[in-house]
Amino acid sequence: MCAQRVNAKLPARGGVGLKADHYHRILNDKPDMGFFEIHAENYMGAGGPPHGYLEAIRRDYPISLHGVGLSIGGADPLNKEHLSRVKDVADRYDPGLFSEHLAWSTHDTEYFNDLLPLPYTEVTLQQVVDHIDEVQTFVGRQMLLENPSAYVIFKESTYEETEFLREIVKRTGCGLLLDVNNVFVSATNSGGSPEDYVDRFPVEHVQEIHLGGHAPETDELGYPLLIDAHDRKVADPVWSLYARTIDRTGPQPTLIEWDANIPTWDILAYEAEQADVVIQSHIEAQAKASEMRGDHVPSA
Amino acid sequence: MSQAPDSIKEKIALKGFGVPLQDLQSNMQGFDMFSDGLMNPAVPVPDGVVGRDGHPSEKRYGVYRNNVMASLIDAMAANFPAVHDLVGRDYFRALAAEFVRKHPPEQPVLSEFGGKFSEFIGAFPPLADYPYLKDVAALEWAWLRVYHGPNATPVAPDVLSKIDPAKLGDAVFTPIPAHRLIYSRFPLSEIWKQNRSEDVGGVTPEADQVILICRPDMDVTLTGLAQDVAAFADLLFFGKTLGEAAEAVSSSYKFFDLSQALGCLLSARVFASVDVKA
Ligand SMILES: [Fe+2]
Repeated sequence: MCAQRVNAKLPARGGVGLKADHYHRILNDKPDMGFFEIHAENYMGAGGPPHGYLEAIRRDYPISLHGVGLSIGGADPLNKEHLSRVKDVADRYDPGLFSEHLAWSTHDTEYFNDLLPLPYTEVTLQQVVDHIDEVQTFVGRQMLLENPSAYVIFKESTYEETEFLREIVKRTGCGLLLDVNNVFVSATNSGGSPEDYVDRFPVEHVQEIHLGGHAPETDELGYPLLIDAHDRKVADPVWSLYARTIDRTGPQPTLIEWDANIPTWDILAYEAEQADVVIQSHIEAQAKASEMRGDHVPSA
Repeated sequence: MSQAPDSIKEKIALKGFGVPLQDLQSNMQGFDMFSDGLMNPAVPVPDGVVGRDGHPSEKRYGVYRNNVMASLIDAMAANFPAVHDLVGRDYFRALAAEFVRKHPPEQPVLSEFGGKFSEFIGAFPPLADYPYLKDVAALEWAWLRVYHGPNATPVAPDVLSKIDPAKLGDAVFTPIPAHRLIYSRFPLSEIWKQNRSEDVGGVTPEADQVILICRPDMDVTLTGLAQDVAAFADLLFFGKTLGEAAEAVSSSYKFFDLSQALGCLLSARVFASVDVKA
């Protein structure tokens, strides 16, 4: 039934979030795009146009499946019904990658529709590990865990985020999705260094990168408070941080997240091309460096 | 609080059972406290949730409060665009905020959020002078359920020509799963045309409207039904045979026209199959 689909694997290129505004443009023009990322929760209905479009788009493009509702970082047990719906979407579309957040969104049956932060302690570590075990076992796929953007600091945290993530990977075998804009937002908001964070990140487990736009504000003390708004272009310092990241992780599938004030297709596609440019220059720099070292370069 | 690597290993072995009960309880309290103020601005910033000076920061915690309410109100506006346009943006956002606080979503699929909105509007005293709004919300909710409902292929409108006329009375009509009937005292089809810029087929009585919403292929279609046709459709959807349904409707509506009613429903393509009962 799915014989005419392209291979599921995501290329190490720019990709964009799939938006209903762009369905027709994509199907009519078949633009050159590395991949599309979908929010699992948008494709959980039984049928109808969303599945019709996605089924058609999946024939020509690989997709990554990004969940926003599992509440991996929550204190409550996972919602089993929702987990089963995530698995249904994964089985239906065979995504090349499947990711969720180091965050929570449900507590006491209430769903808050936001990626809420958690303190990093022994207790929350065990919670997250148990939840990821459950997700990976049930869905039958490796999950990538994404670093969050944070606006607050928890006094009770005993782990650095990078160490917390490293420990989760060690205990669950999950992979990591490194959101470079989230790094920039969280580090700026907490007064830390985004570069240090990237340098300390367990990059060997990264399989995907996110980039997105943020809104600059200030808190009541006058410190910068960046909001992870996904409503504009990727900021210049985030592009620089991305280049630094790629030098550490090597080329990775890189998503442009633009979820509000959605631009025209051309503007969105241009952002994804900028990721391709960074990846290309990394590859060229690597080739040049290896040439200078006299490594064997295979002929093209 | 810092832990030696050995104690971490122990906890892996015990899968969470090694965590002291006291830590588990205070952890749960932390989540309770963070949750409590998300939809309620009167609740202070939780203890231990701080800014760069180590003190609780209203502005920072407020980002979460704002994200939660704004995104859920946005979801309501996306699900109920006609109600939104009828009451205006500011009123809708205030109304949806009240609704969200009273009936927060209980699962993460937001196209399935708002099932109680029609009922909520109907019981909302300030909107008592706008009784049609409740029905518009019910229609939008039905539209959403049909839009995301299961796909099914409808039978061709000429399906009855393939059935032995002598057995027609025993025919059973199975509807496609993506269908709903909405009843209203108000001219919903006019409101729909104006606020959703979509046409409504079928008949359009001034009042006492019945609208059949169904999705025979990718597009959701709306068809206005006369009362007798709606009663007939309802009986067929319920599994009555054509003969049973026609007889029941004829006894209450003396001008009921069977072939016209069948023609209307078949051209709306709401049936997935027609079978003669053995
Ligand atoms: Fe992200």
